[in-house]
Amino acid sequence: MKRIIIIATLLLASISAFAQSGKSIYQKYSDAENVSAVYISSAMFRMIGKIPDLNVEGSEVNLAPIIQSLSGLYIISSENPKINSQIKADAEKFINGGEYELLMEAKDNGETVRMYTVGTEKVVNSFVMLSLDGNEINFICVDGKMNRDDLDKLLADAMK
Amino acid sequence: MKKIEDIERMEAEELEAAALKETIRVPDGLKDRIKATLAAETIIEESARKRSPLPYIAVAAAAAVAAIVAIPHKGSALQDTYTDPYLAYAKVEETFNTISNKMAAGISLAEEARDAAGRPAEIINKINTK
Repeated sequence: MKRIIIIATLLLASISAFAQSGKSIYQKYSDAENVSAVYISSAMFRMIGKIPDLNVEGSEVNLAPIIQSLSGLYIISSENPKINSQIKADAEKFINGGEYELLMEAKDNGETVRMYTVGTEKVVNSFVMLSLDGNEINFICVDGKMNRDDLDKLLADAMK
Repeated sequence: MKKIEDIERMEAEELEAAALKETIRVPDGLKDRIKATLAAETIIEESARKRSPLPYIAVAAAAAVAAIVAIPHKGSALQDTYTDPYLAYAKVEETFNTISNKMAAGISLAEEARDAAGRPAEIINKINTK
């Protein structure tokens, strides 16, 4: 009987792990009121990667090295105070359950920005940015197999 | 002496009669041992019948929920926000710019904090050099 209870517990634990992901958060809130949502699939990233001259003239960042390694982009921007705390809670649950590592936290003029990554020393499997500013919350989740050096370079170039 | 085949062909009554004719002694306590074995078998069967169905229900419920959550549903596939790869690219670029800007703001805050933290040391150094 003990074995059965352990199996049931493990099954339920695996379900709760399934419950939160960038995709599930997107699915849950993308149709809500005062929420703008963007989803870009891996198929679209492959199509973008086939654009002949990806590095568009005048653009600040060169996405070419990284674009085909991306498998999903989920953005939820909410100005709906009724669901913002719920989005925050779900995002934090997802981050805490997914072994994400805090990359940076900045608090400035009432805005809190947190960035997280999960992966290895060389590869970033997922990047999450959560920003909270008054009645606004932004959740960005980028999934893929991004070379950490390429991602760092991309972000550093954009900062120039 | 009867062969095994002959014994197998015998009726129960004939077997009983043949057994009664024999003079071999029944081992002591055989009857009790048989009774104990039969009683134990009955207890095992009853306990198996009485076993609580709760763990099985729990497993079934967990499996059902897992199936609902894990198995992709019809129509649950997300639709791309953009059908034009150029527009999608522009959004990705904008997103990475946003991330970079937030990161830059965080770094500049960290630099300000570092400068502020270094000031007392500078003052102490100036005092010491005078």
